[in-house]
Amino acid sequence: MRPLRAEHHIFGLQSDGGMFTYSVDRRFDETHAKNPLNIWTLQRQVPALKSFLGLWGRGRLSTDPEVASGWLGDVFLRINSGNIPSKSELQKAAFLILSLSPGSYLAKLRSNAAEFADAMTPQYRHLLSMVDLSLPPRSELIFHACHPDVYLWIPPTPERPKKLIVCFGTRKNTLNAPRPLVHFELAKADIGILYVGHRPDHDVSKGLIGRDLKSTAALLLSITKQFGFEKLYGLGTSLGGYAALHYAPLMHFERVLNYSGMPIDHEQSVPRSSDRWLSEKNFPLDRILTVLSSSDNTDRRILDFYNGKGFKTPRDWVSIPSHGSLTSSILERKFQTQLLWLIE
Amino acid sequence: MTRNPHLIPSFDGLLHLVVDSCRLNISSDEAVNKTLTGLSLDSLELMNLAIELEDRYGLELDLNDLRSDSTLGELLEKILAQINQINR
Repeated sequence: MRPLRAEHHIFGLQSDGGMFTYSVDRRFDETHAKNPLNIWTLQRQVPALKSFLGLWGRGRLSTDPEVASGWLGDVFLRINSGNIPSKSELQKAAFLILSLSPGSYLAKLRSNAAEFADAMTPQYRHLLSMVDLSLPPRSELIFHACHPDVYLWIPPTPERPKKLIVCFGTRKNTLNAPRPLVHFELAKADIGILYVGHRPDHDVSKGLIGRDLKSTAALLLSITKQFGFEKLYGLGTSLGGYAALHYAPLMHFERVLNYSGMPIDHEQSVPRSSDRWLSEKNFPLDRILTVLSSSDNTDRRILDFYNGKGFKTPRDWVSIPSHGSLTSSILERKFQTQLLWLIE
Repeated sequence: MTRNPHLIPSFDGLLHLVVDSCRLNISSDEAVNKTLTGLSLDSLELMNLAIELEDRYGLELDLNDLRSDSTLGELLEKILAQINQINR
């Protein structure tokens, strides 16, 4: 009996209104004529996926550092032999690893934290030291590199879970930190996770590309029904938090975890005023937990805006002065408690 | 481990490599006639196998046309054919 495996389903919206899908599920998947798209063609089309799979596969299959061939392998070989690469090389290596986030290389980065000390921001160094990297390789967010519009991840449980967290990201499509990195923490909930992506500079709170908010919500609901999910929970950071609030009544979320949810004018670091807002009439405010930083100027302005709109939900606070309140919650060891509140 | 693009593995050598690297937990003799579905070998497993073979033999495998009802033996023949073609 071989161990159960996580399921990965990615969906891409097409300009003609159609949608392509690619799945790795519990059965032998798509590597045959049924689907013209398979992992071999997919990685040819998406070089970042090829890079990810190379790192993910090599890190998993061998402990021999020489097998980690290529430039990144060479960086670690030089570190191990005491021939420390230049700062720019270390920065490049850290950026590559953090953005793709294969677990085995995150672990290498962490175990060489001293050598990479000047190659990462203090917050990333701290975050890397806090994230639980014990997730099985097959449960990592393997297809993130494809930047799908929708990515459904299902944990390797004997039966598919009925609960699902729907995640909305920042303007840059992160969860305050690269999505595959935060996934290591989110996956501990052991329920389905649906990541809603969006194209550059597209406002996900108005719907995915080519669709308005209502038709996007209907599309997402149809996907969740197809996989048997019954209870949905929303989670979002910054612009994504604001989006989660707008999808909440349309997707019938049980609860919403809102990390500093607002559209932000990034040049001014201030909230962009919005006429579209959520009221008690649309969704019970006591089912929203808002997380803000008590010492961050942007988050203080968001709080003023919330108060002005009468948007008074239960609140949780982090103290790190950063608009990225999800990351701060991980750093302050509050994230898992917030997650438990969400899916209770 | 060093790459050796000129080394051509035998069928049995390749079979043992697959059984070990894919952690099939059955004997090579049992595995060889089973289908990929029967062995729960999906494309991610095969991708890892391809990476291992690339590192060992310096070849880039393309298993694009592989079918789920192929047996492991058929997969190995396909890989050996590609290795032989590259080394020809």
